[in-house]
Amino acid sequence: MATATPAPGRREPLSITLAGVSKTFGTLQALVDIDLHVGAGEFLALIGPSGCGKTTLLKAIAGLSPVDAGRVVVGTRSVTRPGRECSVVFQDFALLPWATVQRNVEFGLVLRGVGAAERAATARRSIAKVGLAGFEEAYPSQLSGGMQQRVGLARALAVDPQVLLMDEPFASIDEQTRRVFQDDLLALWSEERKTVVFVTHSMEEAVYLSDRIIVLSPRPGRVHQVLDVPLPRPRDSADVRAGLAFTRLVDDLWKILRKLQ
Amino acid sequence: MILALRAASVLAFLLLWEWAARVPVSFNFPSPLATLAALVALVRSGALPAATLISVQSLLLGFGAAVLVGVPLGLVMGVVRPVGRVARVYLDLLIALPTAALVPLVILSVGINVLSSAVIVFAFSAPFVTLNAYGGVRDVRPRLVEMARAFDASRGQLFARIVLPSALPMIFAGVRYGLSRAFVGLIIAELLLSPFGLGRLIMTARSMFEHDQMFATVLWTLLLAAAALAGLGRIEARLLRWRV
Amino acid sequence: MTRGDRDESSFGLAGLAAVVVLVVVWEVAGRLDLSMFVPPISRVAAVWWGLLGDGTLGRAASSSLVSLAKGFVPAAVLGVALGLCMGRFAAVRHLLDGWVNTLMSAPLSALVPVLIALFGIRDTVVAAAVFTFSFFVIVVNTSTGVRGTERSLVEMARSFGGGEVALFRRIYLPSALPAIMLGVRLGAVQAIKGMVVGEMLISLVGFGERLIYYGNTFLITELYAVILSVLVLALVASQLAALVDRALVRWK
Repeated sequence: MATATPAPGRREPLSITLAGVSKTFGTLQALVDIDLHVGAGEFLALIGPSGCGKTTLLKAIAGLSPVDAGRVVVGTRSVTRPGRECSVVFQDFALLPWATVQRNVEFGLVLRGVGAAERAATARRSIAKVGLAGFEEAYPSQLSGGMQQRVGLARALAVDPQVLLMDEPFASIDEQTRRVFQDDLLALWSEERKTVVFVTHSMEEAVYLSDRIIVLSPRPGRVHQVLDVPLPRPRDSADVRAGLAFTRLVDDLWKILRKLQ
Repeated sequence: MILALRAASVLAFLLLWEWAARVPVSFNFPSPLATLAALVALVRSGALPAATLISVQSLLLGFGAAVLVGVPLGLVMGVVRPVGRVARVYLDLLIALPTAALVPLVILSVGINVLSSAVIVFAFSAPFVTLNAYGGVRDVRPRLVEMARAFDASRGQLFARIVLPSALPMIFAGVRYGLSRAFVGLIIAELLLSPFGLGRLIMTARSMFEHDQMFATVLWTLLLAAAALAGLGRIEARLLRWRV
Repeated sequence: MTRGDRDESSFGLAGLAAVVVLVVVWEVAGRLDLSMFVPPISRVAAVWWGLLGDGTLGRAASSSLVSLAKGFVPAAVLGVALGLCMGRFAAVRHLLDGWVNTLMSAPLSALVPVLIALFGIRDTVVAAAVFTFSFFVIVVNTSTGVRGTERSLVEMARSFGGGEVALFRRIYLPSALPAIMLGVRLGAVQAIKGMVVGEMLISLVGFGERLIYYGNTFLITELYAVILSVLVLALVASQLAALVDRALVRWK
């Protein structure tokens, strides 16, 4: 691999704390009294039946959706609006259709006023990291779903976030591509530690990727249960998925979720 | 195969035309050849180029104003919701009204000159340009706005980097449609105003029963409009290269 | 042009408020006598009432509406028929769609003098103009509607032994109905424009003639009264078309 300019010093991952968080939409109670803590550099999965508020919770951490009660703290900052510590990866990719991959990945950097040359270099590094080197000048319409999501991830990583918030990022991608993507994500994460909050409705995915799983109850969403995932890392597909521990954890998770349906 | 069919239809049209010219109808229907001859004669005499120049002047003035006023107005309407909701009503009324009905009023208040043609052209095209710009802003994907907000974009950045590029295809569609409407307005204005331009040429030729000249001018006008629209379409295709 | 259906009607609370504001501003501006070209709306209303009373509007309206019907009905019937053919048979489509599409967005008013030359200065010209203005929009929309029919529906009908006629009646036509109705609605709007343009150019009958006449005689208030009448006609026509659209499509 060609040696690019060495990456600038990376920032440390941050912890996240939610204390007594509630969120209401009109008469609809989305979240009630959420207390949870995510350690710095931890990989946390959020799972629950439809409408349990997992996306709302993610948006609250991102600062996109202010809470009605309680506090959200990322690192040392009390979150009321979007900040520079978090990056979001969306389920439907949210790429600018009129911009090339390069420009899409540069988007966050542009908004922060980073100079053109530095932007371009940082973006290129990010694009290479997600395995899309060579596609810089392509448009989203020319890419498959999996590739588009890689662009979304590259964009999120380009701004050197300390917290990565992922809202069902692989839901719109076929399973085979998804598995490859999961491994790539874990590889990236182990190289550059970030705190990850990963929303999913796939139990397999939650167990495979995370250190801990938070199960939310159906509306109004509360923390129903917390599941530890003591599986060894690195979670190479062949080993972990076939193992008994993995299957048992998925089954435990299913039993919890089934009662909530 | 398709090309053959299209070519065949053009040929059939010409033959039909030629036949119609020979059949005695209520007036002397000029044949394709006669029309072509008249066209050449009009160009040679300078009448057609002169008329075209005047017409194009009114068109550029009126259409240019429509774009310069309509697009920003539509954008403002889209961004400032209350303004949009109210202005939308006036826009709908303007679009429902057959704009030709306003021509006598314009003639009375502005007179009979290039400016009045331009005003009529403006009246025909501005509402559509505005409406499309407005629609373009309103149709921005909320997800893209959310994504930009997640990156802590300011309102100005949201507008410049998300709303505007997103609205561009619709703005262009509005400009294109506005241009075709501008031609409609131009022709109507000149047919009714009469003193100059292509419209005058058409009306004069008709009243003097110079039907080959009339046909030639009408044809020329239609070709002009088609060419202008095609040109605009090309520009649009280049600027909106990213579309599927 | 096959523009998408206009979204939510502006005739709600905001609509009412906007119209009220317009009326008030107009009245005030008129009273202030800012320009001889802006009479107060109350005077326009009075004149309008007078024109209605002495039959002027009635005569103009009847002539206009007759021409409208004479032009629009054939345009709708023939337009849908041709559109169905073009949509269904690719050969027909390739033969004609170049023409139809060009003519749909062409400044058709340029053709009105040709119509005048053809028919003479008579009211038939108006019907002809109405036809010309509305025909192509209807054809294009119908054709697009038929082309948009789902393949799977056609195959399903064929698998049950459906012949050409049955396919048309039960698959193509119902499937294309929303698009056809859109074409008819757009066509109605265009028809009214054709009517006005035609009438103004021959300056003989109908609302168009009145517009030219009052323009020539500097009767500004009367001019406004007729403009408003034409606007009302246009609005009624488009609302009518919308009603028919909703009724038919709900049926199916």
